[in-house]
Amino acid sequence: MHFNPGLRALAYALPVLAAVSLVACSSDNDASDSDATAATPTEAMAVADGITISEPWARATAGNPDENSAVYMVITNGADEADRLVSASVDDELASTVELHETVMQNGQMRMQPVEGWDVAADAGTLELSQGANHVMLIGLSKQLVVGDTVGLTLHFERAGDVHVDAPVREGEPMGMGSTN
Amino acid sequence: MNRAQAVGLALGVVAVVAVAVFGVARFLDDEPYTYAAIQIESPQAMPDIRLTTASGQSWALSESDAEVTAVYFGYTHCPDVCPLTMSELAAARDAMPEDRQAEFQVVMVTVDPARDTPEVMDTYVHHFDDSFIGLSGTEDEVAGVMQGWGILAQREDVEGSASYFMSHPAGVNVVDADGRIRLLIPIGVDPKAIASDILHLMDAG
Repeated sequence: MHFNPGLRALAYALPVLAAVSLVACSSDNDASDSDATAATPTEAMAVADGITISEPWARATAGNPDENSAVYMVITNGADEADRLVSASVDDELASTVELHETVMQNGQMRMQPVEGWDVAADAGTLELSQGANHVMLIGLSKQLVVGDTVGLTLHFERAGDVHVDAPVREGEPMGMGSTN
Repeated sequence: MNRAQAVGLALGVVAVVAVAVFGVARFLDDEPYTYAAIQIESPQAMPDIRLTTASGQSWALSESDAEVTAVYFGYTHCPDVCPLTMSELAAARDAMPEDRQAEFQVVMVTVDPARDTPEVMDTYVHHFDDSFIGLSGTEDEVAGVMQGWGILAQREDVEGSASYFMSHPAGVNVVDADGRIRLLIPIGVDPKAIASDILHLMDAG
């Protein structure tokens, strides 16, 4: 039951060290085999001119009038030139505006601010749009987004041009839990 | 007492003290509960909240039967952090034993009463959990609650943006049955750890 503090610290440290070395190994693999590890097999992928989109999803909404929502995904640039996501759009009938936004915390206050674009580095550089951080914001939805729906989103890249993504609508999962559904 | 006896007694005392110290140290090492959330060192009683819920009914924190109440200040047009926070609280409630869930109340107070009517708040919070309570009121009523709780929120009209946003505090305020603020839950805490914190607060007081 009771270890001395040194042993206990070691017992806690060992799994952490093991995890760190696993992460180190897997990132080595990613570098040499980026396409195979970019997404889980069940996720749809969109590929256009070196741009790969994985794990896209749009947040389900509650059903109030004139709601906002957010779309998240991981963007990988397989080309040998850097690219930049400059805007996104949806069917005019679905939302009045689509903007690129980031959530920032300043002095304990959460704020959202529009951004002009995000760079995606060349040679398998990735851009992660995730909860509590960067997201594509859908403003003024004309209808509720319900689980099972799909949001058709067009991403506009400086180099690759337009990339279409079908983002399934999902309930947001808390970040600390990982993806368990 | 001869010298041998004195040495023996001294050694005995040292041994007893050592065992006692070791035992207490071990006890202290194992016993204290470590909160995943930020613990408020000197809990203060917060001003009452009395606002409007759906169908014009009044709800007051002071009249709630809950052992522990999570009070979140946000707004429904917030597409990212507010729904994330609500989903974390819903998952935390789900992670609690069923017979304890009724002792935990989640309340969301809008910082944007101009758009968030009591009906809008009701629809919004029930998307996450049927037990959650959404509160709004007149601009003055909401401003009064926010001032009492030291909540800062500002309307931000961003040039080139079609909507306006609100800056608002990160984190969830957790108050006990006496209305004292005990914990602040930051974003990104494992809901199971939140559930454990809430249960500990209920049991340990």
